[in-house]
Formats: sequence, structure tokens, C-alpha cells
Amino acid sequence: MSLEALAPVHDALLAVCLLGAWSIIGLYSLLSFCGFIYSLEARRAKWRAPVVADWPPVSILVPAHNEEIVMAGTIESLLHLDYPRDRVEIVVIDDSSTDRTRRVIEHLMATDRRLKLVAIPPGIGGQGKSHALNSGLPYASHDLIAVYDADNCPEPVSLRYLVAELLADEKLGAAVGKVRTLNQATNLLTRCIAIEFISFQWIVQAGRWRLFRLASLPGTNYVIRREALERAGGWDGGAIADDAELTVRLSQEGYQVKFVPWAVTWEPEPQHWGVWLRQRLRWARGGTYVVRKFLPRVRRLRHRDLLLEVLHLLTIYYLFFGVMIVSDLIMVSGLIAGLAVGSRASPLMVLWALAVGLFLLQMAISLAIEGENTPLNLLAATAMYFTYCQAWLFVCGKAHYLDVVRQERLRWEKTVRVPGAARSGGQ
Amino acid sequence: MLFDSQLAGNAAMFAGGVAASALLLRFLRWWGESIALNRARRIGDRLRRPATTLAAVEDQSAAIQDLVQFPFGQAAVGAARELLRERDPAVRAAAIEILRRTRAFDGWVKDLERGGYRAKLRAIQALGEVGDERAVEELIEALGDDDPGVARAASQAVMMRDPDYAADRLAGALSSPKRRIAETAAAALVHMGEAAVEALVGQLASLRAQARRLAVESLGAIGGPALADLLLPLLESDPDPAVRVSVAEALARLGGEYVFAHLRRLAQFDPDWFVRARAYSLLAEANAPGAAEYLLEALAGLEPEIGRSGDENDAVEVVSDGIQRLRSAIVVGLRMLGLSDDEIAAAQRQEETEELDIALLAEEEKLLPGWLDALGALGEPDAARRAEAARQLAEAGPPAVAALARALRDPDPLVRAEAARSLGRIGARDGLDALAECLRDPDPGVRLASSTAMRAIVTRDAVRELRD
Repeated sequence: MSLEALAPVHDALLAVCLLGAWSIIGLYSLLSFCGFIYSLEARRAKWRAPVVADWPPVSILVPAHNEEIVMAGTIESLLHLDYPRDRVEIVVIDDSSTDRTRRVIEHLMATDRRLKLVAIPPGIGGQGKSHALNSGLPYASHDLIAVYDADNCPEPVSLRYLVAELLADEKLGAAVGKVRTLNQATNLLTRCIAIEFISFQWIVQAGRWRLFRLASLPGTNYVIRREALERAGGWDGGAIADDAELTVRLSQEGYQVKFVPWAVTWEPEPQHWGVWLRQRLRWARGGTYVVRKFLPRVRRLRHRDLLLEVLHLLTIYYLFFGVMIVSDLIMVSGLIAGLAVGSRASPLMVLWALAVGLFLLQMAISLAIEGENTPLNLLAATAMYFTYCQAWLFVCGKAHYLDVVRQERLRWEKTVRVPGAARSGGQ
Repeated sequence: MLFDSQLAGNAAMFAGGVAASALLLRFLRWWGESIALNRARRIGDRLRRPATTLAAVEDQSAAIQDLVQFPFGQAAVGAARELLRERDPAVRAAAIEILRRTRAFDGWVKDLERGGYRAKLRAIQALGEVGDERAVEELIEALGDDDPGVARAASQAVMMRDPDYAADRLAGALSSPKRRIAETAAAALVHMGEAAVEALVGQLASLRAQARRLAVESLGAIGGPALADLLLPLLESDPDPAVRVSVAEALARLGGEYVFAHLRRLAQFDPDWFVRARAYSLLAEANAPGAAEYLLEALAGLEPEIGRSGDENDAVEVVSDGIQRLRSAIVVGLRMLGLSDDEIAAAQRQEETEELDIALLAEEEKLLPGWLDALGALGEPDAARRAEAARQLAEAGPPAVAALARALRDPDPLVRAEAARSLGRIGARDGLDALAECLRDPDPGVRLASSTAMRAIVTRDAVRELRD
């Protein structure tokens, strides 16, 4: 069979892929628009932020496993939160650390009574963030639970905004803030991660909140009602993406999760591809775990939010991945066989180029909302499509391979900290 | 042809025309504003003239009216702001009246609440120039702005006023329910230095613990020779533990044997666990003379069973309050003083060994050999036997005081209560410190026995003195 004969098949496949990709791009364009609208509303809403006369007490949980490098900075930031001193307790959960994490915590405990240490002994701990959080929860004294990762530097006002939003609406089970990248100027990888985070939060978080009153727990910088947490059954010890999994169960219980963009925390991101790969692999496997766990129950789904959350994860980890893989294969095979040139392929190629253009436009809108639309960032966003996004495909592929082919057990993978990452940022 | 020179020339001319028009418009605007401002200034000059006659007073009223109704609002506001620089209070009052009536003041307040960074800074500058009660009130509110730059600018604007007034207003803000306002005010007061001391001292008597704490912290940061005399009384009298901690921290920075003695006393007797823990760590941080020995002794004296927090069957260890927090603080302090974990553990073990050497103890304490069994029984595993031994030791008299004082730290409350009663029966003043510590015992029976014993010792002494 000649290559010319394969051309219609090639075009048909490309058309199907483009249809799938355009559905996703269409959805994300809508979300981008809604995110933009929400950013305008949020700016006005910030002035009208609910005034709380009597701030409720909050327990902040900070799970830590071998975090001696970042622990002190995080605790210092938490101690300087702009929240009444006597209304905050910080429960640091030392999850069987083998480094000097406990020493650092004890040192800081001697200076501030708000700090509380929950030490999980070796042999019991080290099983992941969900397990550590579940271990610390019984020792949290208050009805509002805030969660921060051990490498975070929240802005002083963040907790106040989260609590105020949560109190203003009884339907809310949790209020989640925004995560920014502390070391975005370190190298191209950290810059790409920063752009990815900004886009994710303004498109997926803000857009979905504006459109569906729905947002996902980000794993850090959120406040959740204890009642909601207990009704949902706490954190799932088997989930390695605790945030996504808990979001679904909160939706199942009828609670909403609100995105509050002016409650900001800064965190250092991986500076090396190896670390990034391991972290994203954990996220991807965590995401697919949630899909596998909840998709079979889709007929019994009681809430629209739950369905949307599962569909969102399904889109990211399955549909988008599938479309991109097939489309990449077609592009490569087409280029090799010379089919991607000529009159037949041209309209589809134009569609593909348009899709890339829309992707970049979405990125540019998000960066502009955040005030990060510098030429360097726009250039990096362009490069991201051909590099960073393709690496994401590899991550997804490997996650599916480990889950389906190797059927490897889910295991918590600790993100390796780099000394000085928190100080090397451009912010 | 790809490059059309005529088209390019037309485009360049068009762009040049647009730029020139923009420049011309800008110039015309500036020119118009200058004329308006000069006219407004001339009206404002009428306000500067002394109003000595009725006609002059009427002219000034008319001038205010003219400025308020001036067709170019910005020019009127500019002229009024220039009048604010005058020393004459009447002129300043007139200027403020103009700003109020032109609603410029309201605009700045709105900018301060909702404006961007630059608008807020402009508003702060304008309100700082106005400087009346309401303006200062708004500036104080701006101390709580989310942006630290805005908050700092607001505090600088308040400090532009005369120092006494600014210090009083900022000190008043220490009581603000908004933590950020209070903390920014405290930072501004520290920046003012000596000029703020009087206002800060006034806040030491505030009813709000937050104001007292921030005043103590600010005074500590400013320093000064009278600081110790000023703060020491608060170390024992202030009802709020956070204030006592702040006092201890401020004093520790001063250092000196007198201060360290007070810190040791705080570490031993404060009713709050955290205050005690902080006092221990401050002694270590300040590297007080003999701190290592003192901390080692304190560590050896702690009993883990008393005041233990958390469930004993629980797998996790919780350090939140009570004796575990105290132990943690002492260990951290010893590490700060350069002791390794092995050395700390060895010192603890050595202390335990010493306690077990009954014969040596008896010899040191000059206890008669007949009481050796009772002394040994204090180390028995059976609590009832230990309690019986403590009861018997009362008959051994003053040489048994040290052993009974140790028994006050027994894990069993019955033994501790019996030891307290025995100390009361012996009546030696040496046991008073140990008994005082037991007034905080978690067991009410021990607390009662201790207070009764202390009363008995003091009363017996008083009677003895009367007899003498």
C-alpha cells in the first residue's frame, strides 16, 4: 500500500484528535474567560471582604517529613500571620523524620507557645501526607483546620482572608488560596512551573469557581471546617494526591470549595527535572487513583460537583493525554512520510496552529491577570508547549504504565528539598 | 514591491502628528492647570491676611466660599494644601474646611481603602499634610493595610506630627483589635525611640493584654537604663502569661546577675508552663553564668509522669504543654549551651544514679543510721510503702528535709502529699521552696497538704520569734 493511500486515514485520525483537542481547548477557553471575569470580581470583592468581629480559633496543621531545610522559614511565616495571636495554634506533625526536623521544631517551640509538636515514631510514620495529617488532626483543638505544606511562606493576610470567606458562606466546606512559585527566576523549569501554576489557578480554579461554584483543594494554603472533614472521613491514607481525593469526597458530602485568589502562599518548586518528574508522577498517579476510585460510582453520584470534579481529572489524565499522544504520533509519522504537507493536511495544520495559538492566549491572559506578563514569561510560555507540556505527556504515560501494566502499589514519594531554593527566587 | 516608501512616509507623518498632538494637549493641560492654580492661590492669599477687622473676617469667609466653588477643583485643592503649610491655626483650619467641602478629603479616604499602591501613597501624603484628628484616624487605620509599604508610609505620615501627639496616637493604636495596626504602631514607636517611651510606659497599665505586651516589646527594643526597674514588677504581677514572656525576653537582652536571678525565679515558680519553659531557654540564650548546671539540675528534677499530656497508649508523642514542653525547652537550652545529646542523657543518668546511692545520701544529709531503711523505702516500687516511709521520716527531723523534698516529686500523689505533711511536721524553713513548687501540683490533695504544711512552718517560726 502506498503512502498516498494512507493519507485519508491519517487525515481522519488527525481530525478526530483535533476534535478532541478542540473540545478541551474550547472548555478551557471558556474557563479562561470565566477566570478573567472572576479576577475582576475578586478585585472588587477584596474591598468588600467580610469583616469578622470575633475571629474564630484556627488550628494550622503542618505535616513534615525530613524538612529541616525549610521548616524554620515556614514556621516563622506562620507565626507572623496577621491573625489574632491567641486564636491560632500551629500543630507541626513530625512524620518520623530522620534528619534534624524535630530539633528545629523544638527550638522554635521554646520561643512561641502557639507551636505544638506531634511526633509520629519511626515505624509508624513516613507513610505519606494523608497519614500524617490524620495523625495530627486529633491534637488540633479548634473547629477550623488550616493546612500548609512544610515549605510554604504564606503572606500574612492569607489566613484571614480564607477564614473570612469560609465564615461568610455556610455551604462552603473549605476555602482555598493561591500558590505562587518562590524560585521562579532560578531556571527555565521553575519558570515553567510558575507559569503552569498561575494558569492552572486562574483557568481551572477561578474559572471553575465562576462557572460551576467548584474548585479543588490545592494540598496547601486552605482552611477546612472540621465538621466537613470528619463527615468526609478525614484524609484518605491510600491516596497520594490527598487534595484531589478529599475534594471529591467533600463534593460528595455536599460541601463547596471556594477559590480565594488574594490569599497567597509562596512555595519553592523543584529545580531539577528528576525531582519534578517524581513529584508529577506522584500527582498523576494520585489523580488516576481518584478517577479509578470514583468513576465506578458515577451512577450513584449524588452531586453535580462530584461529577464535574471526576470529569475534570478524567479530562486531564485520560482524554487530554490520549488526544495528545495520538496527535503527536500522527504529526511525527506525517512529517516522516511527507503527508503533513500539501493541500489535504493544510486546513488541519491551520487548526492545529490555531489550537497552539489559543493555548498561548490562555497563558497570556492568566499571566496578565497575575501581573506577570513579562516578555520573558511569554517567551517561556511559548517554549512550554513544545517542552514542558510534552514532558507532562511522558509523566502521564509513565503513570498509566505503572498503574495498568506494572500494577505497582501507590507509594508516597517525598519531594527533595534544595538548600537555598527559598532564597534564590526572583520574588 | 514589498517596501512602499510613500506609504512608510505617510505612516511616519501620521505617527509624528499623533505624538505632537499628544504633546500639545499635555502642554495645554499643564498651562491651564497652572493658570487655575495661580488664580486659586490668589484667592488663598486672602486667607493668609490677619483677620483683625470685621471686613477682613467677612473677606476670609468669602475666600473660603470662592475656593470651594472654584471651577477647577484640583487647583482649589492644590491651593488649600499649600495653605496647610502655614503655621497660623486659623489658616490651617480654613484650608481643612476647603478640603472637606470640596470632598477632596473623602476622595483620599476612598483611595486609602480601595485605591492602588500609588493612589494610597498619594492619599497618605495628603492626609499627613492635613494632620487633623480625622486624618490621623484614617492614617492609623491605614497602618493595617495589607501592603507593608502602605502601612509604613502611613506610620511615617503620623510621625510627621509633633512627637508627643504622634506617640500618644500610636500608643493608643496598640490596643487596636486589628493585630496588624497594633504591630505597625509598635514598630513606629520603636522607630521614634526615646520620644515614645512616656507613651509606652502609659500603655503598661492598659487593660488589653495585647497593648501591654506590645508596649513591653517596644520598650525592650528601645532599651534604656531604667528598663529593668520599669519591667521587673510586671514579671510577677502581670496576669497575662504572654506579657510575662515579653518582659522576660526584654530583660534577658539587658542581662546582668540581678536579671538572671529573676529569670531563674520565673523558671521555677511561674504558674504557667510556657513562661517557665521560656525562662529556661532565655537563660540559655543569654548564656547566663552557671546556666548549664542550672538547666541540668532542672532537667533532673522533672518527673515525666506529672502533668503528662496526651494518651499514654497513643503511639504518637505530643509536646504541647505541661512538663513535656518544659523538658523540651530545657533540652533545647542545653543544646544551645553547647551540650550534646549524649552529654545531656549522661547527666540525667548520673543524677539518677546519685539518687539511688542511699548510703551516700544519708551520710551527706547527716541522717542517723536508724532512718536508712525509711530512706531506702522511698525508692520502693510500691507507692504505699513509699508513702509510709515519707510519713515515718517526719520523726527523723531536719536531716530528712532533703529526702522529703525529693519525695515531693514522686509520681504518686499520695507519696507527695505524705512528704508535704512530714515537712510541715518537721517545720524546717529549708523545705519551703519545695513546698511552694507543689502548690501547682496537678493533684488537689498534694496542693492542700503543701499549703497546710507551709502555713504550719511559717506560723511556728512566727510563734518562735514572738517567744524570743
